[in-house]
Amino acid sequence: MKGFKRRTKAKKLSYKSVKIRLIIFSALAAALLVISIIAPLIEPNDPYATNAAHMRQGPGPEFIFGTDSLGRCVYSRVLAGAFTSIFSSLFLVAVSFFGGSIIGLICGFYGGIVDAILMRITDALLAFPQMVLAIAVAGVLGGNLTNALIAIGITSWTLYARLARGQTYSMKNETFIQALKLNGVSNGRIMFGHIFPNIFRPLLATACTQIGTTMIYISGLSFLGLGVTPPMAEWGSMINEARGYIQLTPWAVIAPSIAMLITILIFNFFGDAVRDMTEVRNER
Amino acid sequence: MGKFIGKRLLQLIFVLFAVSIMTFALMYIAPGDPAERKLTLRGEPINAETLEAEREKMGLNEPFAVRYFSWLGGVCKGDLGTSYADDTSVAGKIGKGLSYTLPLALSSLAVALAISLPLGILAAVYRNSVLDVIVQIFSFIGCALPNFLIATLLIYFLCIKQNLFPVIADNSFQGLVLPALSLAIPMCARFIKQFRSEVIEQLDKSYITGLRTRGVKENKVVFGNVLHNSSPAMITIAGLSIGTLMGGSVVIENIFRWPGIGKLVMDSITARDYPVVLGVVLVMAVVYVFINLVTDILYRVIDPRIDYGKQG
Repeated sequence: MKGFKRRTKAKKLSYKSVKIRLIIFSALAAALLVISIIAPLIEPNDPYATNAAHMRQGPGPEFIFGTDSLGRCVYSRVLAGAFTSIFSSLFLVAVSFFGGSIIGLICGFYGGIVDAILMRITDALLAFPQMVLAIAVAGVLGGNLTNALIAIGITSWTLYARLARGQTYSMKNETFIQALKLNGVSNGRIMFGHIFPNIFRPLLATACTQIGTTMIYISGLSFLGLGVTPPMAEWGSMINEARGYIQLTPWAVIAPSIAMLITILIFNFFGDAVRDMTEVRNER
Repeated sequence: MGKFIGKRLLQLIFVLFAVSIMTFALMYIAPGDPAERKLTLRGEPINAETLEAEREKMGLNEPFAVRYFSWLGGVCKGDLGTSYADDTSVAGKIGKGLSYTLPLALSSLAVALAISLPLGILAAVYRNSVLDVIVQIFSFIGCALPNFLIATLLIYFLCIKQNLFPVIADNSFQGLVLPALSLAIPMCARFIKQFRSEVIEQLDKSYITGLRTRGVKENKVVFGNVLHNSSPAMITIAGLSIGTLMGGSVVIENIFRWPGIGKLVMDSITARDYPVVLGVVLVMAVVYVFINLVTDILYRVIDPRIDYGKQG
């Protein structure tokens, strides 16, 4: 076997290229958000109107992505589903990010028995495979979007709680915090006014990398019938509904699949760019 | 090392205890009356009398702690209770399911490792080459594809268009291929990404420059030093992925009608047969906890520099 060529050390991430990436993917992510918000205005047809006269029509001028087995316009449903898929995962990430961070902040700052109990709870929650617990909880509670979000949220906050706790722990003995304490600043003020802004960036970067994964989880539950309740438009459940007719209406499966792939890709790239940005900033 | 393992085992007992409480609590958050569900499932008449008799028989009138400990006592002896639907033992159902789930999970893990290890290493060594770019594109797309999407697309292109594989998996090798691939592809994409960055991190360290300046052959550097030093991280990555694999197998088994515990748990959720749901969740969590323990121990066997007195 021929030996490997020697490679010089790779360039460190350059600030400029990361910045360009961040701008591009922020813009794309923002575009997706705008599209999903104005979706009701740009849907050519009613995404929920069934029509026996247009059942299983292939893509054409009237229905760009064709119609499904109930005669609903697939293009309109993909647009309507964008809102459900994107905003439910953004909401879940935001709630677990703030909830988890605050819990971690309090644990790290006060330490002691509260900290010990909460950290053991996260240990126990992390002992379950996340999706298995989510499926069981959503299944037992009964399938709807709220329960699906609760089921995933049960474990997702632990990520931020652990991170925030570690960061707070190492920051609380720094001189400026000691100085604040000596000045009689209240604990609440120190935690949320001084520590939180300092640990906010890495936490936010982690949250951004989780958007795509959360979307996969939510759509997975919907696909299993444990997420949104039909006929609500959501990509995972649309794929599940159309799966049985894949021979007759492949476009009803392909269209939401591609929408989902593109959306998750954009949010993953966006998350990576935000994470790299925090790294590059720290090195500068 | 003995001290570390002892400490981890103590922690393990606590975690298993907490896991069992949480699993049992699942039964409590379920809306409705278990006795009523049991009678409904069996198609027996429901009235105040039969309900009360069933409640008494199931021990539902006992307080939470009594019910929990009697359940836990059974679990410790390997008795996971009986199914609401037909009074068969839950442990038996899970055992049967596992005999299907294990081959599926292990073969997909093996496929994922067989593809991602060489590709991840090559992509790292030949950084920024054409191969690296192609591998990275594959890995980005694979990370963004949910497993159910991969399964659906595989069925469409390989079963319906080409007629290569059966749509509903039978227990033959042919039936195993598609479910295993659907699980392996997203795993593979994640592995490649992580293995690649792990190898790159090692390659950029100064001891590698040192080895090269002393004229050590590049093959030896990569396969000897780099691989050896990145293997603990790789083992952790593979170990942690077992959790995702279990969640994925629930989805995939249901798509391909593969009669493993993933299909069992979904069928039981649909039928509201909660003892079975509890049993499967508990078994999966326990397996996951033990795999994490083994990975942790392996990590320290390979990399003894870690101070196990303080960490873990």
